[in-house]
Amino acid sequence: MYNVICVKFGTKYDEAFVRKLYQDICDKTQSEFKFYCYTDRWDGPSEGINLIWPLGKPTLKRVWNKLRLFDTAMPIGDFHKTYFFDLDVKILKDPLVDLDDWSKITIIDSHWKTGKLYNRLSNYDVKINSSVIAWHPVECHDIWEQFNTGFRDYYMRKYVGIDRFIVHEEIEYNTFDHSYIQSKKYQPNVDYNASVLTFEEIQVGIKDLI
Amino acid sequence: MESKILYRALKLSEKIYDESMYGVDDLYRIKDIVHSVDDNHWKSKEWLAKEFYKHYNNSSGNILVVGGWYGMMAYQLRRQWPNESMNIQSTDMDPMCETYGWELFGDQDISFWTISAEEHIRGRDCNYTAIVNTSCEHMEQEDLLGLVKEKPEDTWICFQTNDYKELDGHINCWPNAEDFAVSLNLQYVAFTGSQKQSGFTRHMVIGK
Repeated sequence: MYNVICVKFGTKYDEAFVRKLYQDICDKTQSEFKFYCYTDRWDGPSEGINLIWPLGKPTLKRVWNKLRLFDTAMPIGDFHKTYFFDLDVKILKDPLVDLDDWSKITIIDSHWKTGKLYNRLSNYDVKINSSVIAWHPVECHDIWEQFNTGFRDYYMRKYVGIDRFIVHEEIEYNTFDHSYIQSKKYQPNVDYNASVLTFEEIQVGIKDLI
Repeated sequence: MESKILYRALKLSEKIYDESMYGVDDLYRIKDIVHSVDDNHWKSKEWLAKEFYKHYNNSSGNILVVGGWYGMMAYQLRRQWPNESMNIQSTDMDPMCETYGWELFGDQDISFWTISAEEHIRGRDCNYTAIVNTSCEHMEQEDLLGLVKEKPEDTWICFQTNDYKELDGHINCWPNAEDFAVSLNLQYVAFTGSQKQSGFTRHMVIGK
């Protein structure tokens, strides 16, 4: 049994993206899973989708709500291995893979990011991305606790998103096998069958995911 | 901007850079400190201090600054009330604000400490004659209302927010000063006003 969760705050993505993600995982996996959406608004049917409304203080905007997934107050099964997917990913084949190590988060290694820029002392960009995250809830609550301190507001000024927070605040992580992911922008052609296609740095409409 | 403040900000930047070579690596603090002494912060905090001075009409008291960042607000208040009988405390939830506040304004008879607005409410601090908060856009409305509710009737509040919703940390923006004032449930509103800045508008409410 897995938890699968996505986050929909604001108006960038609508319910169709959530329903599409849910349906694609239903179609592609044989694993048993329960699907959740952490969201601040919902219109229309939500069959099969367990809606989780904002947990309250501290109020967070945009991608920072992804960190809330690690809060002990997040009402997902604490004892089930958990997958998070961004709403702008395309599921190509069964994405619920049993990993070797669930003691820390597993995220995407953006190995296509190369160049001297990344070695600069003042560079804050990072070579990982959190379009897909896998973790075991009981093992990873400390991530929320590390964020939700007196430094919280400072982190949101310092980092444009949670990827940089994860790397520069030295959260321990593993990365998915390279063959698990294909990047639409940086890997237009690959010689393997990836589970997930990511669209980082690309504007995505629902038609792109069909 | 006074040259001594600018000089101290530069020296502090040098210190943070040196620290990054052998200890805590946090070069973004340099940028954050530069922002804190930016002209728009100087002007908006000076605006509050001067406006509040007209209404407060007393040479002594105990001013609490909530969300005081590195101390610019407390410093502007000290410029208006240079006398010792006005006690000024600058607080922030970020522990480094206390450390760097002392470095920038340590000679200004301002005390710095680390505490969140929520902890202020829980602690029911009630010996302040004024509560100043120029970071309302970063704070939960519930906490602002808590500060107003728990304060003694005669304690002043001077709050600023803005209408700039683009930043992730800005969770409590308001379109105008009047709506912001109404939201605070004050018994008495002495002043509402707005100040245009580059790309956004800052709103201020003074009352009890």
